[in-house]
Amino acid sequence: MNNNLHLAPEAAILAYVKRQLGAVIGDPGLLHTDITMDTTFGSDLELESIEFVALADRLRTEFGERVNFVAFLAKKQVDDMVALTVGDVVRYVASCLQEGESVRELQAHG
Amino acid sequence: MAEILANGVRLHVQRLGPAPGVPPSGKTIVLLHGLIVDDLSSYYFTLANPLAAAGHDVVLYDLRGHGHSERPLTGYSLNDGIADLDGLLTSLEIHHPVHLVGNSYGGAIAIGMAVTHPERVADVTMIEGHYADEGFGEEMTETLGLVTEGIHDEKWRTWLAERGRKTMKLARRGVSLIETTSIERDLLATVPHSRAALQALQIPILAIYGGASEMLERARTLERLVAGTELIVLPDLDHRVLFNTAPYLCEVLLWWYAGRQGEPPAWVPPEVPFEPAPLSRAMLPSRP
Repeated sequence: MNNNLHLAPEAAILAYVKRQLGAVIGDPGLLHTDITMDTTFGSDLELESIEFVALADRLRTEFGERVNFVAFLAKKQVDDMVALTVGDVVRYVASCLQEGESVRELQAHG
Repeated sequence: MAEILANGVRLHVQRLGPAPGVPPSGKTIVLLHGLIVDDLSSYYFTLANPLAAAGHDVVLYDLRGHGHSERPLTGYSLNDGIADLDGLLTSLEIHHPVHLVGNSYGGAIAIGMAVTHPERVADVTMIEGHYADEGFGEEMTETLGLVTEGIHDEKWRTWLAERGRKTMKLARRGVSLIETTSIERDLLATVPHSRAALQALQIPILAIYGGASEMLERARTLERLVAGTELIVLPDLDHRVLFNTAPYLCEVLLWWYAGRQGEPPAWVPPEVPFEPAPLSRAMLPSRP
C-alpha cells in the first residue's frame, strides 16, 4: 500500500491507522473526526471487538512480520483491551519498525 | 480480512501462525466460538494470541451467520457446522489431526467433529462446552428463546445498556440471526450422538467447567462416557469461564499441549467474586 511507511514517524502511522479505522467501521468521514493518540478504541470509538480484529488484520497485511501483533496482544488481558488507545498501537508499530530498521542498518554496515 | 470459502460459505478466518522467532510446535489449534452473541473475537482477545506466541498454529473463524462471516438463510444445523469446519480445514490444506477448542456451543461442533471425522481430530478442549446429548436441540432452542425474550426484558436491557452501544449492537445482530434464518428450526432437529458413539471416542478430552454452571452435570456425564477425559471444575464459576478465567485457561492449555506433565496448573479464585450473570441459562451475556 504505502511503501514509505516503514520510514514514517508516528504522525504518518497515526494517519494510516485512522484511514484503516475508517475502512473497518465503514465511515471514511472518521478521517476528519478528532482521533488522537489518546483516543480509546473502547469507550471513545465504541469499536466492536470484531472490528478491532479487522483493524489488526489490516495492519498485519500492511506491515507483515515487521510488526508482531501476536506478541503485542498476547501480553494484554481483556480488561486492557477496553482501555487500549490509538496511541498504544501507533507507538507499538513505530517501535517495531525502528527496531527493524536498525537491524537492517547494522547488517548493511557488516 | 481473510475470507475463505468453505462448504459453499464465505467464512471470516484469522490464522495466527507461530509468532516470529518462536520455534513452531507443529500443532494446529482450531478455536470454535459460541452461539448467537459471539464471534472469533472472544478468542482473539483471550487465548489465540498467547497460544500463537507459544509457537502454535492457531486458526479461529466466525461460524456462519456470526461475526464477519456470511449469513446464509439456512444451514445452521450441528451437521452443517461440522461440514463447515471440515470444509475449512480442506480449504486451508490442513490434513493433519487438529486440536479443537470449543466454548459453549463450539464444544458441540468439536465433539461432533471427533465423532464423525475422528481422523481429523487430535484432541478436544471443552470450555463449558455443549455436545449433542439427549435434549440438546430443545435446550438450544430454549436458549434462543431466552435471547429473543431477553432483548425485550428490562433487566437484561439495562445490563446491556450499561455495557455500551456496541454490546447492544451485538445483541441486536444476534436476535436478527434468530429471526431471519433457519437456525432455531435447524438446531431443534439435531439428532443426538448415541452413547456408543461417545464411548467410542479415542481422543483425550480436556473439560473445564464452572462449579456453579448448569453445564456441570453434562461434563460429568462426558467424563463417565469418554475414558480419556480430564475434568477441571472451577468452584463458583458460572457459564462464563472463558471470559472470567482467560489467563488461567491459557496456562492450562499450554500445559495440555506441552504434554500434560504432572498436575494441571492450580486455579486460584479471585478475592472479589465474579458478578453473577443476569440470565443463568443464556450463553448470551457472556462477553466482557
